[in-house]
Amino acid sequence: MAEWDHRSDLEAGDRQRILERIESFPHTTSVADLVVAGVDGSGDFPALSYADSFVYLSTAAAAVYHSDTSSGLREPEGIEPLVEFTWLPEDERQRSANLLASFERMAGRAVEDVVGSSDYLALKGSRASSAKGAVAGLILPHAADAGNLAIQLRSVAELSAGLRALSAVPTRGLLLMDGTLSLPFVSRAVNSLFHEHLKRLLCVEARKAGIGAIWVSKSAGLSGESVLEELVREKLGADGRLEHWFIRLSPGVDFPLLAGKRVPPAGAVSYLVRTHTRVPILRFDVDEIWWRERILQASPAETLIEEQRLLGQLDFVGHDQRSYGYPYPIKAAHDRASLTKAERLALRKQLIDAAVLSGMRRSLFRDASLLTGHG
Amino acid sequence: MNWDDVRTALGQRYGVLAASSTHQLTVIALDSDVAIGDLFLLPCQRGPDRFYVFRTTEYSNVMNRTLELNDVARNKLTMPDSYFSEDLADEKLVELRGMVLGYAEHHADSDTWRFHRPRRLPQHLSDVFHVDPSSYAVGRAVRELLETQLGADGLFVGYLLAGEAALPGAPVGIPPYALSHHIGIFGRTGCGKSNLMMVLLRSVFEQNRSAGPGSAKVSIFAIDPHDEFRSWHAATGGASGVAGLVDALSPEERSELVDPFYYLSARDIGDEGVERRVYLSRADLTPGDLVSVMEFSEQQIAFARQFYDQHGEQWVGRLLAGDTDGAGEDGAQYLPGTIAAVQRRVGFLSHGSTRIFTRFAPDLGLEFDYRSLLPDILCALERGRCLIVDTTLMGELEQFLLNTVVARALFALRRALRASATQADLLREIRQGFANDDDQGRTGSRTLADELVARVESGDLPYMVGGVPRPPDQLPYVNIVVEEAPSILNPQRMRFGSVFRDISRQGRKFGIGLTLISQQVSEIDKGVLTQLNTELTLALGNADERREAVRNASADLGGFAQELQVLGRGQAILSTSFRDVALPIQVPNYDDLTEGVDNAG
Repeated sequence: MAEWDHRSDLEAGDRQRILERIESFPHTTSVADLVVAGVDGSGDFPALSYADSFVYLSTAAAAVYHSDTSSGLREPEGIEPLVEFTWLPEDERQRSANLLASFERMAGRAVEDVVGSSDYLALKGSRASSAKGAVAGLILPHAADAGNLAIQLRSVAELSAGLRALSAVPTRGLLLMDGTLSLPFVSRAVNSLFHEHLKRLLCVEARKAGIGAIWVSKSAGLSGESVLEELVREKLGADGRLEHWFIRLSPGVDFPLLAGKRVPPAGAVSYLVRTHTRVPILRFDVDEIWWRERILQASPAETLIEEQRLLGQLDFVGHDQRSYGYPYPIKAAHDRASLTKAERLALRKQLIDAAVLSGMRRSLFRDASLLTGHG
Repeated sequence: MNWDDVRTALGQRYGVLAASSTHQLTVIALDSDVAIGDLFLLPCQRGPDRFYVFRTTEYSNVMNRTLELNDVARNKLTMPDSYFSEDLADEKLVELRGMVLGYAEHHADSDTWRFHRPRRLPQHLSDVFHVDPSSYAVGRAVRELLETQLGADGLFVGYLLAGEAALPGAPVGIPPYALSHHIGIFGRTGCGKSNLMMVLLRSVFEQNRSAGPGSAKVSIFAIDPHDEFRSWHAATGGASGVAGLVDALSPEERSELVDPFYYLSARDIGDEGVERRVYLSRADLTPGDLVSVMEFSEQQIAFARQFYDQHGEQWVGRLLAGDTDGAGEDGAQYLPGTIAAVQRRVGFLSHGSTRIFTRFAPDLGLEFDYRSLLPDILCALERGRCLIVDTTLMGELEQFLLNTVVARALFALRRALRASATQADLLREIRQGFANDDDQGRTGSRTLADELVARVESGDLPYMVGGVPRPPDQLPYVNIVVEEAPSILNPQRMRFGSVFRDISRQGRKFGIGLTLISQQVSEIDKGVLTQLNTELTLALGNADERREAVRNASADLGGFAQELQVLGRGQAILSTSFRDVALPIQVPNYDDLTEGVDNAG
């Protein structure tokens, strides 16, 4: 690992190019008329298993805040959390039907509608099949493939909660999603993941509403974070500002510290952002089309002003004392969506008790991990 | 009230039971202004209908999801531009910890609630309701649930305390017979002991006033070191004390409840009315009385007893006169130094040195005859009286000796009564109780015995009923108040015996109890402390005293240890062996009580 860490040493040309891209934005202590929603998801994957069947629980919550002169952010009204139980037997037909039905319940739209309305297939470009073909090419994991199902179900839950939250955010508001705008299968010809379509549908719907959808990741994935910090110190240190800086990662422009990684993702513009020294370098992904419509200006200087305004807003929503440096609406949504271990156990017990009352056999409910000593 | 009625009266849920064990409960509640000592009710229908009573002993501010409150505080301090967003969800919570006082179980057949010690726990995730002192309905519900513990029909001492405020609908009392057992009132200066005594005296007065022909009265011999119980705050425009209660009586009631006196003082206040100058005779004293109140060596005690055996009731006079030539004629010889030491010790009884002990030498003329109020005091106590003794002009030894002589004489009378089957038995036992046996050549306290026998025969001492001695349990419960109890009830003083040790051990058999008032628990003889049945513990001076108070309480005070630190003026913990649980109380301000103003809040 030590040797790997030294690989991040940069050549002089790269250092200079990075230095030129480092910009600052203002520490923002008040913002007027800002509405910002945060979304996060969780679940229990699986919540329980019975014979060859599995039940997965997906949860997601959105919290909408208005900027407020007295309390910083104020939540005027609540949004119902999303809770979805997905029953998946190993039988292929039943499993696929159930999983797609679950996707539809969460998204509130038919699978075909999501695929057809999203711009995901456009990002695939010439590789894309028709919408019908895309639906047929959706990857639907086996019932026992908890790892992949967890990613799909949780992502669909989060994105669905995001879609629902759009109605509570006015034009020029912000929608903050936990994670990235990555599209893992965008380069594949046939296969795709449903939540990729949904992710891009969220971008489409947000654009229509004039809302900035921003994905926030706590892990920037940099291979040489310490080197970057040195460069920031070199450029901004004279002013004592080692925070409130950013680097824009535009499509098609390589960034030496992210070599080999698809950053920004297809259809996105990314930012590496340091809001405060107590939190890691964050990565913000925004829809490229929205960026071109709302952020990109006639001149680089004007674009910089818009970027500073946007990042100032994101800085402001990270000034809650409970999550200083990180956007509080996402933290609030996380707190509401996440399930504690005790809650998972209690829910599992209640489900099994109810099932047994309905005539099912308690002995067939099992926790494979616990049985094999992996609990 | 049935289960549903009580549940409705409680209003909105306050919190939810989290972790629970028979040792401690944890409750998660919404952010609110809570205080140590606040009471909560937990309805439970696991088993019969029950309400658990929970009392918080500590609490902390917690966040619903934020685990590290310290981080939040650090951010607030070091990030000047930070804020705390206003969430719809309840992020700020409080976590209460405390103990279950017990539970009230409903008995449908009689529609009553019976309180039980905390042998059970409320069910998982029980709803928790705050006992709001400002709500009359809640106060009434608590009163019903705790009825068997509050003793509201006894001698009123205060209102149940819920946190910092009292529940006006939940008065707390101690049974009248508690005064025939032993009571401890402990608290530092200024914590409200005198006010508590005033409230108790008023309750005794009311008890006697309402006592029917068949029900027991209560007598109390209350030492008043600051001469405040009689007039209380009347001089400054406040409520009058016992004098006010007496003035409010009708002539008939005064005859029944007060006559011949209620107030005794060493001041010259004449012998008219119901206030008297108190005096006792040297003839009333025995060596045991003196040993109870001052330091004697073993040799000195032996000499004093032998001298008393020789000279009986004139022993003090002869000692003071130096008439000790015959000392030791009939027994052991004593060194002149021993005799001189005893003479020095009784020196405070010499004529001119004492305001309350009169000379006794009937051979020298009328001036030296027996003059003592002791027989009248004993008669009064046996008829259900509240006697206040102003000791401001008495020396410490005089005060203690007065207390001792009254207690010892009453104790001797009750013993004699219990030992007797006929009047003749009783009169003989009284004489023997006062060491007077002329047939055996023992003088003892002959004159006092003569006086008491005469009062039995006249009926002033109400010991005979239908020609036979009255059982002691038909006499009033008598309580002797000992102020500054450690001065005479410390282990050193009690080494060679004490009348108070005897009373503490045997008094309740004869219906005589002690009330020990002290700032310190730790200085009182352990043997006496273990005999206490009721404690009213107010704010104490330091941790050692609080520890002793918890250790010696008649009911478990373990859960109140922290609260003892924060008790305000007039707040006390009542622990008694007559109840299942200790109760926090607010003693009302006497001035407000007499004006009919509810001071419970």
